[in-house]
Amino acid sequence: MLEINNLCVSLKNNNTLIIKDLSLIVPKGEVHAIMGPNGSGKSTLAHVIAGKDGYEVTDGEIIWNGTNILNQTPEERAAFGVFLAFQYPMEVPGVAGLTFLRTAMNAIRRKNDQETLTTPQFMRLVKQKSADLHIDMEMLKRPVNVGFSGGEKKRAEILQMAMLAPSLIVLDETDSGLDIDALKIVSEGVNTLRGADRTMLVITHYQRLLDYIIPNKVHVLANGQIKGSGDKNLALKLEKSGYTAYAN
Amino acid sequence: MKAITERTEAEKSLIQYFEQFSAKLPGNNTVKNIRKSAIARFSQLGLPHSQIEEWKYTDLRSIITHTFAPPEQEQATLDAFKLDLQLNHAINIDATRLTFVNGQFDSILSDKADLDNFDFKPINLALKEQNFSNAQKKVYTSLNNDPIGVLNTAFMSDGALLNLKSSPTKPIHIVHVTTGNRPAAVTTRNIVYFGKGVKVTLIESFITIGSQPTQVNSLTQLFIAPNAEVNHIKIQRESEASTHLSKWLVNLGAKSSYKGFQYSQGAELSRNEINVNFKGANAVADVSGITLLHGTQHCDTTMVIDHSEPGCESRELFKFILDDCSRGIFQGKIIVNSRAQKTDGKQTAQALLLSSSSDFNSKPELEIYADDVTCGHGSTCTQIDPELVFYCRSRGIPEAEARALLMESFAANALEKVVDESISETIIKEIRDWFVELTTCKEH
Ligand SMILES: Nc1ncnc2c1ncn2[C@@H]1O[C@H](COP(=O)(O)OP(=O)(O)O)[C@@H](O)[C@H]1O
Ligand SMILES: [Mg+2]
Repeated sequence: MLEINNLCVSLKNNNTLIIKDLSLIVPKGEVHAIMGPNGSGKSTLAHVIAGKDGYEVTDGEIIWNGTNILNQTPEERAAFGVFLAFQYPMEVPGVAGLTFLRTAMNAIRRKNDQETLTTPQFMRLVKQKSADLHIDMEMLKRPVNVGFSGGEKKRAEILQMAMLAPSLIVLDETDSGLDIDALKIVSEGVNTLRGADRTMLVITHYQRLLDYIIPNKVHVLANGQIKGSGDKNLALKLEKSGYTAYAN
Repeated sequence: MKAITERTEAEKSLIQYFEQFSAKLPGNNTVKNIRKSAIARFSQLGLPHSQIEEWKYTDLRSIITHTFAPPEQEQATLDAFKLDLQLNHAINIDATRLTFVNGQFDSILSDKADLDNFDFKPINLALKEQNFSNAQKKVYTSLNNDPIGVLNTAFMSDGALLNLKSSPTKPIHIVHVTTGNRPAAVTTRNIVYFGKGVKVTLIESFITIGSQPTQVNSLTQLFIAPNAEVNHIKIQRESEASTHLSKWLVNLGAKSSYKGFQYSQGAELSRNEINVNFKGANAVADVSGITLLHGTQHCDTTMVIDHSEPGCESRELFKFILDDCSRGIFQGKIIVNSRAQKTDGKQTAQALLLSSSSDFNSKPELEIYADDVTCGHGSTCTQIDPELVFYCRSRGIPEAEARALLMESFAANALEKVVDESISETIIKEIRDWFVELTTCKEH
């Protein structure tokens, strides 16, 4: 279970709160959507869950599987099952996708006292997962995300997720920049990972994604606070009415 | 150039060392005279200083305050085991090894069996031969305006003279090792002739054993005949008590191809000069390098690419990773002669600063006298992107490993220039060792 209690976040060296006393519970195995207007703090929430520097958590806690993860480094959180699919996946020139994936997987396995994968084991896994996501193996021999289209970057993120098999998944606007075909492939990839052991937070600005990844619950985030919660129909309602009702 | 009348103590002692040791230096009468004129020239020029444009960032005149005598011809204390240990990853390069210990050829530490396959002679023997042609003479006297070059001519004790008329089956690996039992100045000269159409990989390694200060002056002259393909790699891992002055003089025949690469991580002060001269049309030179510095290390790479023939292509790509208070310098000059139409020259120098106290100076210079040319240069100075570090860490890669990965990523396209896989593997392992050392130092 993911439990966020009274979370308050500002930027470092700036007292203005971006996340204001936010509380949220996502039971194990459930998928919750967070919808909200631009600038409402969605990415900030995602970053703070993953442990990004540059933010100050002035109050509150983030409890994942019984542990407050706020004191963990990002790599500790990753080994503890946390995965953030970036709104803007980074390009890593000079590091082949396969090398990056393998370095990450083995780092996590070492941290969890698991044996690292042999090359054949790794290759078998990556071949299968990339086929599921319609990713050409040649693409993975190229540097991470360099020269990829927006859609390719998002699929590459989902591949990383499928390979690392995390238990807490945060998707930050994974649908942005995707055409309908790519959206279906990505959603399928996400849905494959749905299960009793996985908890997901799906951040999106548009309802469209939720036609493919059907959430157990939808929360509206505006101005750094959860302004309302409901079932998937809330998303449809928001699509019609917009976010103006939630302003301030 | 303004004549400097007042000589520094270091300059005086270099001249004095010559008087003291010249009788012991190898050479026939012609060579003795060449040496004498060289030291006379040095006494006119003195050590280079920052008022000389090419030495703007490396004022040897003020940096070099102590000079050392040539090493005594002592019985070698070095065995193969110690040498291999010090060669570190480079022992995995399958090559014919020519080893020079304290500036003397060591046949026991060299691959004698392979030597029959090509024309090799230690330069100390060549210098003693009586029939010295004018052409040979010219090779030694062509550096008359270069103070470090003339010092090399005055003091050179040995080196490799290679005449490669056909392609050897293996790379040739010249290993320069200084044992540092006492402070010493080691001066070596390599001269290599590459015959028409030969394909050769030539590696030069510079290592030191022991922590005594050493001054290394190494000069390598390459004469590449038409259609030859040469890979030339340098791995410099001398101790931090070392001053390393090196120069490559590369002469390229028509349609020949030259790939040079310098990996530089040792020496407190190093100066790597690379001069590429196109002597025939349609030749290609691709020179690159990776320099890793920390502490107060200073490394100056200064290149001159002289396009005097038409249709030639030159590429330069140099990467510097600079930590602590270290300083990296890249000076790259491209000269395009009026008859060198269709010249295509590009140079890039990039630095990754790991500390706010490290410093990078880049000075590109284009001197173009032809109209139909494509020439360009670029230089950047960056830091490790914290967003990228976070991206890696969010995937479970620990911070130190993430930073090392990103440093490797920064160096990657220069390393790609090394075509021989066993050599690029060697260099990547050296780079990784350096990163590990860096982080373990920081943790303590
Ligand atoms: N690094 C930053 N520097 C300045 N302002 C920031 C930074 N990160 C977030 N903000 C501000 O915090 C608010 C929330 O941003 P963000 O979490 O990116 O919103 P969303 O993802 O919902 O669009 C915005 O007003 C944004 O301008
Ligand atoms: Mg956002």
